[in-house]
Amino acid sequence: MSATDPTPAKKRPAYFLWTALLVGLMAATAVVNPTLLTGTIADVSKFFYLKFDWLIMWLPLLAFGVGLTVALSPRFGNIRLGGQDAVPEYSFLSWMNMLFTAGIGVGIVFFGPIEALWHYYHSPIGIQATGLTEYQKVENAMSLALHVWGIPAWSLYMIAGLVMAYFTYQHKTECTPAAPLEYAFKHKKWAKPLGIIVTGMAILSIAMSVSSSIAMASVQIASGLHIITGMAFDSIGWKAAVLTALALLYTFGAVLPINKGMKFLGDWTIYLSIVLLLFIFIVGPTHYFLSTMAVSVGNILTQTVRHSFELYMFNNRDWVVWYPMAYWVWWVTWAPFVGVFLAKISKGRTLREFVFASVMVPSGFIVIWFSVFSGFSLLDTVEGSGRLAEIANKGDYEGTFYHLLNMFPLSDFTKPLTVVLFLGFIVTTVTSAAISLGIMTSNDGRSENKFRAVVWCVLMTLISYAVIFTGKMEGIKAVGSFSGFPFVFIMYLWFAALWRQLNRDVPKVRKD
Amino acid sequence: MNKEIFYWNQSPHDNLVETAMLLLAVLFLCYVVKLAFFDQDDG
Repeated sequence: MSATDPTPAKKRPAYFLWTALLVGLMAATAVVNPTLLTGTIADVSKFFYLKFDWLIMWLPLLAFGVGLTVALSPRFGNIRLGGQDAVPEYSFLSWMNMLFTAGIGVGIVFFGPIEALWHYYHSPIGIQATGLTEYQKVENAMSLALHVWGIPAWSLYMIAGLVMAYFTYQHKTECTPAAPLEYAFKHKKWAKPLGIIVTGMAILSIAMSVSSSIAMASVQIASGLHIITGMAFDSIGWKAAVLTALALLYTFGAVLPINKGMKFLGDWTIYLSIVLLLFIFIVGPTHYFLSTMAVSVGNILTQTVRHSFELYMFNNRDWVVWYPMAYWVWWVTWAPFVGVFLAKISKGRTLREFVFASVMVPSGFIVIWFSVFSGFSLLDTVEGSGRLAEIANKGDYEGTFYHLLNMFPLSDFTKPLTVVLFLGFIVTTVTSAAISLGIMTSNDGRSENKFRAVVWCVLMTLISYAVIFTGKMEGIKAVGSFSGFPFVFIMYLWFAALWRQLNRDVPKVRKD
Repeated sequence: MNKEIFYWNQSPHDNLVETAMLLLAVLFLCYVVKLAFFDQDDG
């Protein structure tokens, strides 16, 4: 084991300067002339999604398989990140809270009540399918929702974090998406140039994707305030004011040490979400929620492999481009920064603990959350007023959550709580992204750099302001997901790097 | 009955492009397997 064998410090390219310039240039183009990017990039993305569907479909399942093999292996499972004497820096609960809020966070609030509804109405195995009973359509919708948000999604994050954490702690490499490739394949001529490209693309995709999420969250929070108060919070001025408040919070979070800022934000955001979840669970149809959870777990156990290889071949191809290709590419796009952050907070964990905890705990929470919120929307559609489906089908996605809360008592309290939850989730996501960007663009590629993290916060905020004032989001989103797409292939190289290095570090014990 | 066409009568040009992409992807996957399991170079 080479936990005490640090890689000699080497001069890094000036990532900070040229990636900041590149991000600024792409952002300016995306805002000033978005069609230049959306037209070409969207077409190219769609082409690749369709032609490589057979390669992308089962990537999350493969990631899960690789992680599971490492975790269950008697040779590798007990390896402790940072050396056998290393102790975890955060409690198990805080570790999980930070992982969850950095990884998906705000998406569960936004998509919680609408994800399964979407599959119910638009998937080939929802209401469009003839010959299915109502319960089968509902179960299929929930099963698809949990497939794209559950174990497969978290497996992609897990493998990114596992690979980066292993190389960072056991071989003292940089904590970047490129470092495992540069270390494991250092004898290959392509490793160094590929590493530079991978780092640059990771930074570009993180900055652009997170900026679009900040802008979207500002709009959603302003819209929530409008729905709650009836006042004109959804004007551009208020959206910009919300963004300013968000920017102050996440910049403050990025400046504080992780064990103060991010830990506090992660813990309290999760506690608040559990309060809201428990409230709806108790005052809502509890037996129905429990039944939905039981059926959902059963569907995960029996349907995951089927969903992972289902291409709906004679169905409208746009469906496949959107589901699940865009989801998988979106998770893969976020995997580099979630991986860096996850690696940073996971010192002292064994590989077995890392794999099981980072997949099972968040996926378990997702099952409960979606069974309650998506489950209730489906119940309202099948047996109730159908109002939630009506609102969601009009495209008022953020409104669906607030209208769902209106169907329960004490909505005057739960709706503001949801706005706070939105705020907490987006602030934790951006804080962790800024910390990861600070690490990736630091001088040694493995230490936190507060100044550079703040600069990334400022840059991402400026992009978000531009998006809000121009209303042109598509260009930024297109650049984000396009520069993240190559990580589909990088992920295969991560598998190879991890497997190769583990076998070198822990040789097989000869029995003779 | 109107049929929706997804694969039928695809042009030879499109078929060639798909074959080339398939070959590249398979070569890449083979190389990944080689790197993971059969690459002995210790550098």
